[in-house]
Amino acid sequence: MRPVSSKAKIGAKELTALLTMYVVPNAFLSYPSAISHSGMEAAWMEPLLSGVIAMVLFLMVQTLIRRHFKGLDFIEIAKETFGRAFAILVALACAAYLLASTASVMREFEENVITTVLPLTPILMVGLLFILVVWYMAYCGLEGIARTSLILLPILVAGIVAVCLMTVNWWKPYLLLPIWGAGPEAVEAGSLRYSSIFANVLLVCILYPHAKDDKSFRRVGVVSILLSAVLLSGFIAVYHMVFTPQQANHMTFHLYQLARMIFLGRFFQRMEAIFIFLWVTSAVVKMAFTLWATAYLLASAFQWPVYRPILPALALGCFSISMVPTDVMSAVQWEQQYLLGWGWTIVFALPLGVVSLASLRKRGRRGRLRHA
Amino acid sequence: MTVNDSVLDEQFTLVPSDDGHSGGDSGDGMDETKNRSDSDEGKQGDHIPSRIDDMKADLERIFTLPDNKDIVVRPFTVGTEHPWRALLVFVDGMADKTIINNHILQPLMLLSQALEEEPVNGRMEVVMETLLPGNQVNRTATWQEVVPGILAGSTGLFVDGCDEALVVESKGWEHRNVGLSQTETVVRGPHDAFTESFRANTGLVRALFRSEHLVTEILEVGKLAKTDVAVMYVRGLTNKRLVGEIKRRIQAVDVDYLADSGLLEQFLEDDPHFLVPQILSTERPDRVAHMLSEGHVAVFVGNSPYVLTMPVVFWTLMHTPEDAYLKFPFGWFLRVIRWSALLVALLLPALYVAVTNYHPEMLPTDLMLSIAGSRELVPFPVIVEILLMEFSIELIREAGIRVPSVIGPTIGIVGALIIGQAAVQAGIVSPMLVIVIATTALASFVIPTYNLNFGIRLARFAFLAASALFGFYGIALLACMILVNLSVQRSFGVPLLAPIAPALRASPDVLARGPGFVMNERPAYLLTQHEWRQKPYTRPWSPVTRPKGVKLRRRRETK
Amino acid sequence: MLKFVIAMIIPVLVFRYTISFGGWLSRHRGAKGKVIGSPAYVVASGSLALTGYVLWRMLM
Repeated sequence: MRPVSSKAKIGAKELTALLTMYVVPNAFLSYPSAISHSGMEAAWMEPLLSGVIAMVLFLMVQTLIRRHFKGLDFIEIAKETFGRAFAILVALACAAYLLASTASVMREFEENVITTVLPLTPILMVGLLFILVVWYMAYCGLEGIARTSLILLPILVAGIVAVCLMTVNWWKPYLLLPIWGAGPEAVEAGSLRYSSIFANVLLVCILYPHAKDDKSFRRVGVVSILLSAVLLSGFIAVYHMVFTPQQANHMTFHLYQLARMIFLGRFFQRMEAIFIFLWVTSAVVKMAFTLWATAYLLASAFQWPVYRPILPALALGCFSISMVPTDVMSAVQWEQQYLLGWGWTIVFALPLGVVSLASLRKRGRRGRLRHA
Repeated sequence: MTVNDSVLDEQFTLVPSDDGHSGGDSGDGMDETKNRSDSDEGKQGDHIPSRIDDMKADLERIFTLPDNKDIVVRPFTVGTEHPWRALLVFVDGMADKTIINNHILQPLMLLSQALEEEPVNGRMEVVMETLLPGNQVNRTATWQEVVPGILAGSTGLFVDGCDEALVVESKGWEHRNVGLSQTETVVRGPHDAFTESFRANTGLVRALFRSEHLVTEILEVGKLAKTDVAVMYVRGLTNKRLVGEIKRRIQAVDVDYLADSGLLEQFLEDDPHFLVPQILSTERPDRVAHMLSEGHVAVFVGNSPYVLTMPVVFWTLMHTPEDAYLKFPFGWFLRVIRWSALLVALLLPALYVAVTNYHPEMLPTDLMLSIAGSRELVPFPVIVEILLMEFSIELIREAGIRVPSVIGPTIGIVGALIIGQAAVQAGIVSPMLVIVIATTALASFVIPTYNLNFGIRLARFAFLAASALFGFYGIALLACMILVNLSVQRSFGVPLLAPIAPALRASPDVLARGPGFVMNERPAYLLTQHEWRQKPYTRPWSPVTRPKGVKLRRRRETK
Repeated sequence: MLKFVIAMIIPVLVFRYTISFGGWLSRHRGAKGKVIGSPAYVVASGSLALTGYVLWRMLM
């Protein structure tokens, strides 16, 4: 018996916005420097390739779920086929990944805030404010996060496009040459390695029962992956037309660096402060979503009827994890090595494995029934 | 077992109305109210006695006569040849004396010569059918029905020997005539506004919206003194569950006296602690008529000159009727101005503080120098300066409302002199800041809804605090919180930010305003019984605005 | 030291709250509740310990 009404129902546009808002803020994080390192001048190809990979996987998982497990999320699928203990394990793995990614995003954004706008404020204060707002947003539920992201997404897209276009007087297209950068193999390897930023596959598995209708869900995934891949790739391309990959490796906050370059006459210059709105709001939405998903996964794994009471403890835990690395560089290194580098195991392999094994098993069972 | 992850579950959710049974959710509240009111009035719910002296005694008990001087009891006789003793009861000041003299007393006392001796229990029949020329006469048998009628301005007529009473409509108390709109003025469009008369108000709307489907249901609220509350909607169009829910909420209101629509608003709102109003109160009949035609519900409260319409979405609070009455680009332009005014009213002081305190580098050097120059003599930090100015602006606003109109002009002089001249010359505030605050104040007057205006005023101080403490970072975080809070808020089951978030179908009348001839669909969030307002080709003769694929049907020429 | 003690107020409150949530779960579900309530205790203690460690390192 599942009370259907207790699942928040989210429309297609909100879901698209939410998934896009989850992926695009990577432009402000260490992702650009990671791919500049692996792809050099051809780094802009990597988001596109990763997007294609994510799209294929997404379509596979979505088809399997639609065919065999209509209306179930990924934990419920695991529970149905492999039993409760396995489901709890899966949920814990995903929750741990999401919690860690929230924490690492938070640390990077805290550092960004301190280096760019509030150099004198202690990091604990900055983090406390961040976590308060993120907690409140997660407390408001998936509907609130999704609707907010629908409102903020146009602003984010317009902002990124604006940053890209306003630096047009600094563009040196020849910096994108040689076209293959570090070589096709390196680009491919980088795309594979860092494809986990498109966590859509995992999120799809969690959000599936929340979609208002099944049919539009495929379009949600495709559009959100396409949109975020194009935005990221465009941003990286512009970035590399302004800075060389070698410079990129030494910087942390790429959007900020780009925004600092804006100089359109004497009046329009040093606009980077305006873009604070952009990255603070998108970071909050991204973290609120992952925090919500962590709480939701835990709650559904342990059969809690509500998820909200666990939010303060999770938020606090997240905040503390974000403070564990002693300095920025170790935090970034940690993120690149573990979250970006090994994220694909949780983001792609786990859901794909669970769903395909479960559907094989289900098909087998059904076949046996038919023959019996 | 699933996690209940929806914040909205416990709230009322608007769903499409299913036919056949109206007011689906009107369960417990309604019955409860009904039961209670029955038992309350049971004390005086006796039948009217048939002897006139007993009636008199009952009246004296009910109205505390003769101490209560407002109630007039006029004994008289009907006819002269075989006179019947009778009583007339009305409230002095509420009943129209001309009606009582000319249309009740005169026919009964003077023009009823030819009365024959009737059987005693047939007297009421004769009075009602032949003698009384009043246009609305109700025949009742219990005090419970007569007393509210008398208190509402009607006249009670009792005849000896009949255990019944007639309630003759004679309402006629003094009230303001229908006048000009005070708070929602427009240039183009009607200028009349609701007034302090219940029936005049419903009549104003009905005069505009002449449809037999327009239904006015009247409920009563208040245990000690009753206030009429009318629920007006379009039958066959408005969502039935919505009407049911509104009636349920009104009937659940448990107060002794309901003074005004502003109070009922607080009882009906989904979340009364929230800064943004979830009910639109308006004094314009044309606005109510338009909203009724879209599928909203209007609630008239007693003699309040403000009518409530619900549900309302955030965007509607920024609309004025004039946007629709003007040609397309003008209405659109007004909307653009108004939305920018909203942002200015909300954020400008906060942005000024953030820029001057935290991000002076983003200003061009000349501007920065001129700001710094203007602040040179000012001894306070920016936030103190701005709070001083905001406080004086709020003082002027409040004083402007409370000041007796005889000495009104002084406010303008004092305010302008103190703030514009003296404060700057004394070096207490910088001239730049005066510009900022004045612009903010102007912008906040642009917001057309008075209640929203208050919300913005308060939120402005929150933004000021956030920006004084944490600059742009604080503003961005607070904006996120307010945004998510807005997006889970509901007004009668409708998300407050619909149809933008959640995204729903809507005519181009949300942020901007499209031309009137493309407003073909009703707002989807109201889940009305008919979605289409008009066919998509409302100007069939025009090649300019005809939608693609629609061919002009030529009228066949007849000989 | 004083800074650390003041800063620990919030984590302790959150810990207290989450423990009471665990207790509520246990009461809510009777015998089975002990099983589903215990992860809440784990999360609560984990976050308290971690926050304590981080704050100790940063403020002492």
